[in-house]
Amino acid sequence: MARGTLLSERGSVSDDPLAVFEHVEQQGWGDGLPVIPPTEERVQAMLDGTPLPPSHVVAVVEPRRGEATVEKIAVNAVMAGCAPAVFPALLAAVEAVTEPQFNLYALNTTTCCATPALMLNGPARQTLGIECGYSCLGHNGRANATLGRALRLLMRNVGGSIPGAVTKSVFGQPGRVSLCFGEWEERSPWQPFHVRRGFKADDSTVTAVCATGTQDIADIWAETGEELVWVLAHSIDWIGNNKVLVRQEQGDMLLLLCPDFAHKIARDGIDVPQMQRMLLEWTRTPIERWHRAHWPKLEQRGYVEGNVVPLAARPEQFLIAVAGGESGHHALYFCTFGLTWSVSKRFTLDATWTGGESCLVPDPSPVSRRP
Amino acid sequence: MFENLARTAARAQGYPDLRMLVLPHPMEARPESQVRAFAHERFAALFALLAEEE
Repeated sequence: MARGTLLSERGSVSDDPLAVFEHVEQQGWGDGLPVIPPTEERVQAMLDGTPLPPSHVVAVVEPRRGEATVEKIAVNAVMAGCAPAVFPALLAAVEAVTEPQFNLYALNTTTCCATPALMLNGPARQTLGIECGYSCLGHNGRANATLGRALRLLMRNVGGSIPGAVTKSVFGQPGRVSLCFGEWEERSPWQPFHVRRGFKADDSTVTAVCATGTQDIADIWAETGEELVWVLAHSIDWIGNNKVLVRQEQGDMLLLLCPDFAHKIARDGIDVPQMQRMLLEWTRTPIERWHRAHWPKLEQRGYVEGNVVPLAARPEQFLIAVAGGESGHHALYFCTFGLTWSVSKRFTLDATWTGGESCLVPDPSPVSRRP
Repeated sequence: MFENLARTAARAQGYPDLRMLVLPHPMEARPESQVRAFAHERFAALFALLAEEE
């Protein structure tokens, strides 16, 4: 069923998939990978996931300040290969990353390789086929790959995130093609992430969190939860961490635990708030780890307390979630670029949903912009 | 290095002809004396930009 008149300019290209791919790349609309041609029929099918008209502006995307209309979001979703069913989740993801607290302007222009990572919670994970277990962050599942990719294409085509010209990311990263997964709530010993943020267990949410990458943390020797948290803390407190470049009270960062790690920690009576406090305490890094020439620079910025440089100011800045395969031994740290706060949005998969409620971290520090 | 971005942002905000003074990047790692020297060197150009007729 047509949801309304589409306003996008029409183009014509041969049916040959290679011709379409080459045309998209020549126009600068792609990410270097093949795309699905966004025909009117396919875009209209995507629009069936929302009652909003195609011209409805969901958000303004920085830095070009392009209007992310429902139609433009759908066009990019088709190009990315999304199934129409995921469209509401994509709308929620667009809402999340364009909240001021997420600071998309900075993410789209920085020299850092930061990108939004999308984490889904709630029943929509099963309905959409979002992978939460083995290899959920890569090469497993259409829903994960295409949802993350659609957001990145939108950031490029509507937000103007053009490498070199506008985004000054020195390296970029694979996550700038797609970075999306689900929390494996059923294998977590704790409440699901979105419930800890105040949503109901049967709500479906998408959380956007900044990731400069996914740093693997491996351990096979820790016998207690405390030992394991120690390993985690001292795997994320390295001095070249982009988070160190901003004030301690700015930004939050995600630590993703495999089910085995989470159960080992929980088995010893450590709950999420306690683990966050341990991480806060154990990521206070002795200033001696920096070269002596750095000390006055850290001190001038007010980053030094006594003789340590804290990574964060509050336990809540360490976000904890559970995902990944059951073979154990690994966690992932999503280092933050710093000047950004994660944002969660609720959505439903019925075609009546028109927007999600935000859940922002309490009392986030003012976000400043920098290149 | 950020000139393209600045022009994109200016256009997006409705100021395509915004006058700009382009400084070297990065600034953070340079000693204060060098930053001050940049300021002295560019002051006349900045003043001229601000004084320019619309």
